[in-house]
Amino acid sequence: MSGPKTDFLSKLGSRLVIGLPMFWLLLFFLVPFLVVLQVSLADLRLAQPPFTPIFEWLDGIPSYVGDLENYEFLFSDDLYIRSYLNSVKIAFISSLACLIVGYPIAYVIARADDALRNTLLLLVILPFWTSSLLRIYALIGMYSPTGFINSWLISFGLISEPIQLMQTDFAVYSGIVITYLPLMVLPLYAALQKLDEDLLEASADLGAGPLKTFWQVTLPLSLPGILAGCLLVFIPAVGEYIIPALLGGSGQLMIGKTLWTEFFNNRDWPLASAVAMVMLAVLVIPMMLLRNAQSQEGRS
Amino acid sequence: MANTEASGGQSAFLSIRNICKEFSGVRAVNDVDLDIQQGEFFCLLGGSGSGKSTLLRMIAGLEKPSSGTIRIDGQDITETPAWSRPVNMMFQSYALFPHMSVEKNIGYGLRQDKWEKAEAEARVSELLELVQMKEYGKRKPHQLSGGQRQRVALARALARKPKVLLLDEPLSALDKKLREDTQRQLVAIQKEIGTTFIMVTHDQEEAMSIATRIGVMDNAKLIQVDTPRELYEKPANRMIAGFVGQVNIFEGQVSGSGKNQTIQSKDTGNALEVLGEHDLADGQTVWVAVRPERLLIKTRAKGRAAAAPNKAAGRVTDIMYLGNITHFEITLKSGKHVRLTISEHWDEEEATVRLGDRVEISFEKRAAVLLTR
Amino acid sequence: MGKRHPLILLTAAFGYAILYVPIFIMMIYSFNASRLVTVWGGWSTRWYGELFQNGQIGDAAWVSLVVAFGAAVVGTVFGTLIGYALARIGRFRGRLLLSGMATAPIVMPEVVTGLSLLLLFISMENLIGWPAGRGLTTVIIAHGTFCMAYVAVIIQGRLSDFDTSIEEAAMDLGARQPWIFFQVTLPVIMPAIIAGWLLSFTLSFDDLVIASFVNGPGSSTLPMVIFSKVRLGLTPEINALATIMVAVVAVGVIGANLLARRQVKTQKRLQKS
Repeated sequence: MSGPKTDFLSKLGSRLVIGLPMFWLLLFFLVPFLVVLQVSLADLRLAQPPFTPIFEWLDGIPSYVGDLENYEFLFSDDLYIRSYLNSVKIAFISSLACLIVGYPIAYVIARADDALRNTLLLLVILPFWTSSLLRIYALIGMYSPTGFINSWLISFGLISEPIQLMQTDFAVYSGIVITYLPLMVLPLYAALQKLDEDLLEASADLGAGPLKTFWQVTLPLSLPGILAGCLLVFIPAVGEYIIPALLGGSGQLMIGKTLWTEFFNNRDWPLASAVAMVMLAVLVIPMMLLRNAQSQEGRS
Repeated sequence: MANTEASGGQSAFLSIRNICKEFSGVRAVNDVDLDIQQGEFFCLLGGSGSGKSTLLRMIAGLEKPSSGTIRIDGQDITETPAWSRPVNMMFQSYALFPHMSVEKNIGYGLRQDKWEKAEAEARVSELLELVQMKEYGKRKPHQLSGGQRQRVALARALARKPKVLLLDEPLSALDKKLREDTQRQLVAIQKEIGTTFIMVTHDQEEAMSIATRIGVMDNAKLIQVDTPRELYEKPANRMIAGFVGQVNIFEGQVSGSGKNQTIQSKDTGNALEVLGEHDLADGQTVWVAVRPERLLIKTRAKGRAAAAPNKAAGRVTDIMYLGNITHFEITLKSGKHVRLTISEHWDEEEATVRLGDRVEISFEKRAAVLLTR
Repeated sequence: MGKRHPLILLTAAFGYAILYVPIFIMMIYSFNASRLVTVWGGWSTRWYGELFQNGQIGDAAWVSLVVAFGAAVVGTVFGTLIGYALARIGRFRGRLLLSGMATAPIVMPEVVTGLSLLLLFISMENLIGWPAGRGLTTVIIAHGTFCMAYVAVIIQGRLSDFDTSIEEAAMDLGARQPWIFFQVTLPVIMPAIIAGWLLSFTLSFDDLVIASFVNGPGSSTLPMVIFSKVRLGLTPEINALATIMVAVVAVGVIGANLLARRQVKTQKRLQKS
């Protein structure tokens, strides 16, 4: 049936289908990291581009002249270490907050009847399609000293002076929560929806009340969703720039903001590259965990 | 109508009164009364949507009755939540907790009841022994075969020593061969521990071979409660007669009254006679049910009508030889098809019947059941 | 059975509230007559008028639309190829690499992606002279790269909902490979392709961080203009702009959802009859 011509065509087709995106991603995704690595080993100079090459022709031989100076500097100045630690802390607390807010939502959606479930799910997905910058902006309208919350509290006589909501850790946490809540709810919902109602009934039948059933059956069986959701929030939150820039205080260190400042304000590209490489090193384990969790999800 | 016989004088172990269940205006269970004695193996038999599973789930406490009461051992449990009822259920899907080992699954109910650790362990291994799963205690449910899962589900449901064990189509996921073995095991286990079993099934053969008594449900109502033999021989209506095994039903018209009352059938072209006194009205339509193996057959000369009560003339239109038994299909003169089964010990005359032969079929009065519905 | 415990409903309602209350308040205040963003001065559409007079915002919006369109096309074409390769071309060399590279951009911190692409563009310019400077092209390439990751996930998911039997049936009926793809596979995954294109468009249209790294002079995108204004405080024009953007997205997403639901309903009805 399939002649040599078809074979040739379909083989060529497969090669193209795989080859074209592969080439694109190698060039625009993988190679850039090698460039970042290269720049992170270079030195700052006042020229265009503002970094030295790491290979030079010395006596006619190409020689490696890069060094780890930038990395040494990162670990000697506690500004950077504190930025990393604070980013991880804020991302961790935000993931927990997201989980606490997101779990009841996912639970209610998973247990709702068909018509309502669609609507509730849509209401979670909708913000994901709207600009996160604008959602952060809307939050500023709530939190600013003359913002909605403060003017509301003052008008009801609960406080006399505006309370400080902006430029606090709380503002950053809540910004991360409203930005990444959909990413938490969706995997939780997927896990809870797979949960067989019979298991909950069996648990009740065997003597466990609703709370015990939740702890012993529902929660353990939704652990894959919890893990995936927390990682989906944690990973981007560590490198977040917009939220700390708009909602956080100037003294609040987050690594995304530090990288931005090094790059745009200090124009120290080699140091910014080193910051990026260390950030990737920090995130590589969570990323692998996420990939693992998702491929497990795919298999079951 | 349902059941009064078993309740006798003393009150029953499980007693259900006037139970109803509505789902958004639709009655799934309609005014059911049922009494079940301690140690019975009771089967609820019915088609899908008949309300049998809903009734079972109400006993388990997984559905709340719209009205009516449920008592177990003299105690009203209608309002008791599922987790504090002295009944346990074996789910159709088995509902084994996928994140727990076999042992943990079986011990789940014991942990809820705060059993001593040593006692609970002893109980779990006792149950593993009972269902012949001793070597599989550490396995997870997904590492077991269908039959093994079924046994774990049984052990788990028995762990808390429930007063009544409910089984919701427990064998429907198994293939035919395994199902028959498991039926025998279930009966043996029930006899051994003496717990009251209530099983829901849509498979009449299963119900007939397992149950001490069967309750037949149809269209949200409990139609008849009887032993398998009574149900087979004295079905309450045509639906039940057809449901429990194959049956031939002859329609007839009552004429006259008192001693002279007769039933004339267009199906047989003759009168129908049955044993006993029946209170029938002139002109009423009734049906007479006869099991295929209770029909008699003999060849008939051409043109000779079979003019006598409980007889009919026809032709053999199909013969299926199955070794120990032979099925005949006979088309009567009225056009009605009749099924007839002969076991291997047939007499001389029956042995000569061939396909296409003119035959006369007949049945004895005591083989016939009169049905008014 | 505690499914609908009031406490659970209440906390879920709280979750929805924190998603929506700030946006609703912002939308209401976009109709505020007062220049002071947080003081209510009566209803007015004044800021919408001023918004349309604002040339800077208009230019940036045009740049963003062009970029989003280009990035969505690039992302959809390549993303569909990746999704198809991963779902339908069983084993091939580099499969793990491709699937890894296809999903990693989704979780990569934006600052890292932006920085790495900028450094790549500069190095390429030094080596081969292309791309000459930064501008629309570099932003489209950068956005297209992370968009294709999302599209690949959507397409792969859609394809795994259908088993290969439809394609095998086409082959059995005498069709050959390039035509099978265009006549059978492509129509089947078309809804997913459209969804992927729309998602790519919005993701690109909303991106601030990556665009900030790889853009050039004169190619400021709308989020970049918004960001620079927001840093200086609340402005009523941004309220109006945000209201329009949120409304457009909401109408689009809800409309698409209703359409999809109607399709599902007709399918169900057809299956029944």
